[in-house]
Amino acid sequence: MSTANNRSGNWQAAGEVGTAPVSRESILCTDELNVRPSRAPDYKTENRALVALAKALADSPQTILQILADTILEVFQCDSAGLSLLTTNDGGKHFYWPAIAGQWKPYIGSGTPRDFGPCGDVLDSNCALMFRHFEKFYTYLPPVEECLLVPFYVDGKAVGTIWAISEGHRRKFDAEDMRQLVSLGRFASTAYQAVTLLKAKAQLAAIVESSDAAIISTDLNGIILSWNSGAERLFGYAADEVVGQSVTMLIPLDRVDEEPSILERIRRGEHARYETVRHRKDGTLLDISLTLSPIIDASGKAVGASKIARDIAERKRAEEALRLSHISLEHLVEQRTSSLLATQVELARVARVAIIGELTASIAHEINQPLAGIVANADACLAWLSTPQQNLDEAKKAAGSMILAATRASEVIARIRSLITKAAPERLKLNINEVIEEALVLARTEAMNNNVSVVTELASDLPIVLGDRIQLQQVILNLALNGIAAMSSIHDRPRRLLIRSQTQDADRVLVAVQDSGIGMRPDVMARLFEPFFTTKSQGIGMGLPISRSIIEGHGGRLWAESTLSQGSTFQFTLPTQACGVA
Amino acid sequence: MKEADPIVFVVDDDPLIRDGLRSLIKSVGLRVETFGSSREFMQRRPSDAPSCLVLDVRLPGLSGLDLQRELNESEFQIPIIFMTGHGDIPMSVRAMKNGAQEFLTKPVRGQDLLDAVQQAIARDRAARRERAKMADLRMRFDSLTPREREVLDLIVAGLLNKQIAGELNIEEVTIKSHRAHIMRKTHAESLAHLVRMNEELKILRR
Repeated sequence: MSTANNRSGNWQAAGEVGTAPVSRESILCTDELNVRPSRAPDYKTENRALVALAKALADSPQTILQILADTILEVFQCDSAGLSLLTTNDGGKHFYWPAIAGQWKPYIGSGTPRDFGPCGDVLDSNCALMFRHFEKFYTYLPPVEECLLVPFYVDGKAVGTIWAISEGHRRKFDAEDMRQLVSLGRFASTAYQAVTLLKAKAQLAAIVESSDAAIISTDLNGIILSWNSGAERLFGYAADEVVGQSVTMLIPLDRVDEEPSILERIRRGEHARYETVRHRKDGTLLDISLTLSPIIDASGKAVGASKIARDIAERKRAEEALRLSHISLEHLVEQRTSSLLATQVELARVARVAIIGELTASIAHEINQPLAGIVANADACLAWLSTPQQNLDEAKKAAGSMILAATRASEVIARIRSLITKAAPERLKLNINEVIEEALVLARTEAMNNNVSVVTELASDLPIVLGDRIQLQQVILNLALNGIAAMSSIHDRPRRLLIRSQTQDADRVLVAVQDSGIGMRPDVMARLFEPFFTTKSQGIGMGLPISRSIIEGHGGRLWAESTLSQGSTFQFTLPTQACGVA
Repeated sequence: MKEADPIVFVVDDDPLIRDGLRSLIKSVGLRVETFGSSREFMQRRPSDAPSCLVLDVRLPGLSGLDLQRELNESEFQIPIIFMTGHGDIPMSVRAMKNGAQEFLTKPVRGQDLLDAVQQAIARDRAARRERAKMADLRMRFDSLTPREREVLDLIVAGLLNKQIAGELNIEEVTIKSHRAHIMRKTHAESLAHLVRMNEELKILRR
């Protein structure tokens, strides 16, 4: 007899299959059962065994397999008895031994590869077999006299073997042993299946019960059949309050239509998942996600519905919070953008007012001039009417001149007003040449006072640009005044301000304001567009930054070029209307 | 010879004002010529007629004050009526110092301008007469020989013929002859007249 040491080992490590000195057939002796003298069927013993098994099944279903092994050992009066089951986690490549009684009991829990011994042969042939001295072929197994094995079925499929071993000459198995082993095995299969089912059910129930989610089952009419503790927590109803009631009791009035369509889908065997609202026992509403599955019976027919409901209030809250924060962020950005825009508009206006301030004397003259024209012509008109001969032609001519002069005065005032008043920027179709001429109206006198001749070279066929007339006038006026100021100390050459317009790259209009002034040093050039940077004693240093922001706001570019003691050129481009810059 | 009709020159870069003034001045029967700039006016030959210049202070290129200065330095003597906008006080002071006839602020009232124009023409007329007289005077005195001039200086200094003869170391009878030439050449009616004319010339020369 092998040592206990030997028996606790793992069979996989022992010996090599191919070194057996005998054939597999030589150890098989199943046929001998037919020739051995057989006893009459011992139903009494068999019944006793079955009753013991049934009792064990009722008392402690978990140990049914061990009870089976113990029962076989006792009924058969053999040396060892046990069960080998195919492993399920590796696709049945191994046997393991869940229950053994007798000599081999220490091997409980260990196992062998599927094609390692007699058990594999039984499954291959799918019938009961008897071996004699199987250690002669499977040399790594302990020596036995005889071993009887029958397949063990679960759901009609052989998943293992039940076996009895005799280690000495005193016990030889006969046909009656075989019959009884098959019978016990059949009973054990059924019991095992029942136990497994019970176990699975209990497990399922435990899972359902311990689930956080509300798991509800209904029949096809929506009557609640089961109600787990998750459902109790979620809806506030205890199981006995709702089982037998219609699930519509959970559905808010405005959603009762949902249930018939749910049941219809369930009847068709469809699954569904959606988000909806239900109410609790206390009437409060509840945002849930609902997963619906049909409960299918053995015949494949839908007999009810399982519903898993989850509280998504937290998620909804998070989503809502996210949405709200998005909205408030967008709102904030909008607010900031519009306040920034308003600031820019206001800043540009302030800069314009500052320009007007610098131009006060020039502008007074600009308005006074037409007034003087009006007075002169009115006097002339009166004089012609007062002479004895009354020269009406001359009087009419003078009156016509008065109208012209008055119109000019009001134009100047309108131009100043528009520069001073606050107005949202517009995008209108503009002829840039008109804008230049209008801006120069206000710069003309300033130029004259500084002995600057203003020359324009305006291209006649310029495309239309989209822009804000006042803002662009502001830019041109600003550049013109800067140019005039830059020439105030020039005495050795003509003070000449040249304003050019031309097309550039087919889709742009370029406006250049060129002076013959002192020019700019590189360090001044570098800081030109910085706010509050100024070289003028009275400047506020906002003219150029604002001009640039206006031009860039129009989708254009403003830059400067300068040669020291020769003059500077400020130029900007604007996209033409075709470019469609808003 | 009859005096030419008075003429008013207007220099203003603003055509509306120019036309208004032209019309206004014309309506009182005066001749008018208008100009858009100082340069244009400078190209015109000085007129023989009594005239005045209505001049805008602010002009492109050569300003009104520049024109005044250039005219002062030239032979073109003409009374100037300046026109300017409000608040050009330093400018008006300069203009008046340089001999402006009148300084009117725009808008100029028609009657003020016409009054100023009439005064200016009257003054120019008087000035022309004065200038013609002085020119005549100078011509007379310029016809004196250097010796006669020496004698004249001593005469107006109050010396007697004898004293002059002693001073110049020549005969008294020669002095008498010089004296007679001087009186004839200068059309002097008396010694007092001669002295007065000589004084006027001195002022002119100063």
